[in-house]
Amino acid sequence: MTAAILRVSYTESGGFAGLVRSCRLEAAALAAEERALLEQLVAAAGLTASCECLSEQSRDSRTYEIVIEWETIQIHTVFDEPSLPAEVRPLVGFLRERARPGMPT
Amino acid sequence: MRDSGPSCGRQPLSCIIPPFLLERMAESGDAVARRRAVVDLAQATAVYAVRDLVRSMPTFLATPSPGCCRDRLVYDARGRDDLPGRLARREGDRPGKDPAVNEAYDYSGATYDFFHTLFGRNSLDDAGMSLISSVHAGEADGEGYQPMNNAFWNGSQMAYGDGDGVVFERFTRSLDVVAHELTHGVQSFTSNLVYRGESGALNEHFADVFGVLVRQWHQAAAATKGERPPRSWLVGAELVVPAQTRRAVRDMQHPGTAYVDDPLLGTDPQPAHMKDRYRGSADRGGVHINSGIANRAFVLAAEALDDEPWETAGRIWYDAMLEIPSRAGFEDAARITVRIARDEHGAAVAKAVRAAWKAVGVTVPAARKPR
Ligand SMILES: [Zn+2]
Repeated sequence: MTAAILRVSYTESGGFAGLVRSCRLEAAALAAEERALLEQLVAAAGLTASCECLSEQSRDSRTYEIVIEWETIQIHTVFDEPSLPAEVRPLVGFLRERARPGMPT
Repeated sequence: MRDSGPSCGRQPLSCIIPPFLLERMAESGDAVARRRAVVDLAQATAVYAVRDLVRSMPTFLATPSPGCCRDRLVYDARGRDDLPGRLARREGDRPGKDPAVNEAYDYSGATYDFFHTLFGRNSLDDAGMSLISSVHAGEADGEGYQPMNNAFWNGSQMAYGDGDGVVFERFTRSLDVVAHELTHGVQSFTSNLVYRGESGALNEHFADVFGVLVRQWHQAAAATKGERPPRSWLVGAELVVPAQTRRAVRDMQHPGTAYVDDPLLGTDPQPAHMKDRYRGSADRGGVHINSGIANRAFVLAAEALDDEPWETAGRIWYDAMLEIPSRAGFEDAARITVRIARDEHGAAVAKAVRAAWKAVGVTVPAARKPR
């Protein structure tokens, strides 16, 4: 089922190089096929609560910040490479392909 | 060996749902959510205790070397992320055909030698810990694995990717990158600066300082008379695929200029002065961004002194790295380095260090004269 409102903001930062890349996707502005894929990946990621999951010991791991606005719900998650759940990786892969250098606007 | 990679709430050591949110869920009318939140709250309390223990006792993560001194182990992760992988070269083995294995071996040796020769330090833990490196590390992308476009220290070993070949070459190509990762290891056994905000930027700063000093020291030792390369404060110059818009990953002398308007990297975000410091949440509060401020202070101090950077300035920063509190900020770092400079090297050196920090916007009050 298609959500009335789905926005996803993504910021990837850190890593040894400290590069920042980001994107903000509005499902309604995407082509039907891409929109369906985004909805599917968001659902499969299973992010049901805001959380910050960062490794205490790791240094120079990449950090992934994902904000999902779905209808009236907003979920804000922060992971790093060691803590990124397997089920979220396909969504991150999708977002990484669309991210561009720089902070989110 | 890698940190565990769980979903929130399943593996509490690396996973923190904010306590306020858990408390709200615990008060929820939904029985399942309430039960889950109560369990998570109980786990969170235990987790903080474990995390504090890990922070205060990193030595239990160390792999002791079989002998008394330098002991290198280089593994081939074969494009996967389950570290360390297959052993490819151990201490004393002859070089093989794989340049990444040989670079990890040689450069971790150079880093060991630097800390041992100049500061009498016996490995990362100062107790002869084995230096474990994995090369050809991969990263999962949801469908399979691709070459990792990164290098990291995971709390007990180093891992290096082969890069994407477009922006980055293999990460073992730069001695200063290898020494940077190993310096994170030294810090995890000493100050263990909290990896967030200003203390995290200082953690990155010390890793850059000793990364570059190891390279400069190694280049000076290897050069025959008259053939020494000009002093460089670039980090990761050998790592980047050459292009007109990029020349390194960072420039300690001129932060913010390592790459400019690069179509794939953008523009180097490092500030060179406190007035321009990054205040956002990305990169754990800018640990790789605001480190530029302290990096420039170090270069200004080192260049103001009339010896090699690893001598007086390096010694001051090494002593500071050992004693700085884990939650220190830039003002603390400035105060501590100025005090060490004054106590160990005299008023003229202290004046140069104080001036260096002042030039980047960090002021250290002059010591009061005794009455
Ligand atoms: Zn680092």
